[in-house]
Amino acid sequence: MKTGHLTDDAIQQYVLGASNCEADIIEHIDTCETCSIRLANYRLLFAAIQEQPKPAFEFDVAGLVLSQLQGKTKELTRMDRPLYLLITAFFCLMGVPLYYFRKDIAIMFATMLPITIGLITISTIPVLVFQGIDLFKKYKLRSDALNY
Amino acid sequence: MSLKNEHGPPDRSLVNRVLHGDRRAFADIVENTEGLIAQIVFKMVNSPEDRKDIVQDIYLKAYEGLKDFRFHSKLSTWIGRIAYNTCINYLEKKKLLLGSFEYPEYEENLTNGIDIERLFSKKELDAILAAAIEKLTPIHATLITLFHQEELTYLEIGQITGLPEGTVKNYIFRARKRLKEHLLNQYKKEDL
Repeated sequence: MKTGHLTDDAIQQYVLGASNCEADIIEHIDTCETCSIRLANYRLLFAAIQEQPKPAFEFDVAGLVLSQLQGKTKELTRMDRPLYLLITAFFCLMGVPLYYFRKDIAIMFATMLPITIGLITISTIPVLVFQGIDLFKKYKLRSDALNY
Repeated sequence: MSLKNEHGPPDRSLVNRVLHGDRRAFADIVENTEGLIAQIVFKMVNSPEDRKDIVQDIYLKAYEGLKDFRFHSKLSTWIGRIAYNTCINYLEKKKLLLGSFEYPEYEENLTNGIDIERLFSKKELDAILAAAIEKLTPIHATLITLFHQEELTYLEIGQITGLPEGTVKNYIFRARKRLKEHLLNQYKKEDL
């Protein structure tokens, strides 16, 4: 059994759920008038806080936000187009010469020594892998920042 | 409070609809979470004009960030986090982020054995308590109302505020203690 009165933390814990409290706390509250009154005060406080009026915005939040979004959606669409054009242009720049010189490229690889192909592969793949990892990390950072 | 299921169909369904261009779905998200956001904004921002700007800012950030939302928490909790961080930034800009309570800690022996219910009528208690909550720091006031009025768990409050669960619990316990002592001290003042 605890000597002296209970702490405020113990009494609040009791209000939140007596079953979570140690037996001596429950016993003390049952036998101590001062702590029983303190318990009643906390119960009253808990209820009074809950019953405080809830705040509300005086304006139509959804309407206001949607009107802002209308302008933003159009803006985003306009910004996306140059990006898509850039990506398309990149693939065209890379793809067109590859297509036209495909036979020459095939001959080049066929006449290359296997060791040369191996060296090119060994040096290219790690660079691509590390670049990919770096890109992913940057994306994750930005995504986590938005995940608040 | 807010959306019906944790990560359940309503959250995912609404988010998917928004991402496919359904702005009405975003309006539903706003309506569902407005109560929670109001609790945070009203407790942290005093100016009505600033509240209007801030709430728009919050939801615009939520809209832009929705494509990266990974359902690691409830949608309402995620938007609550945006709201909380936006308000903190506002308070820091205005240098209003107070670190201590506005009223002192009272002597324990002044308050033992006094029954609050006998001191004040319900109306008086509500008024004094409302004023007392206003005097808490913005963070303490927000934590108290999120716990008692929005009935969030310590975990959810921690996800919104970025504070560890133990710290959330500790802050709420301390704030309640101060509120109780403030109420009793009001009686002492009136009694004199």
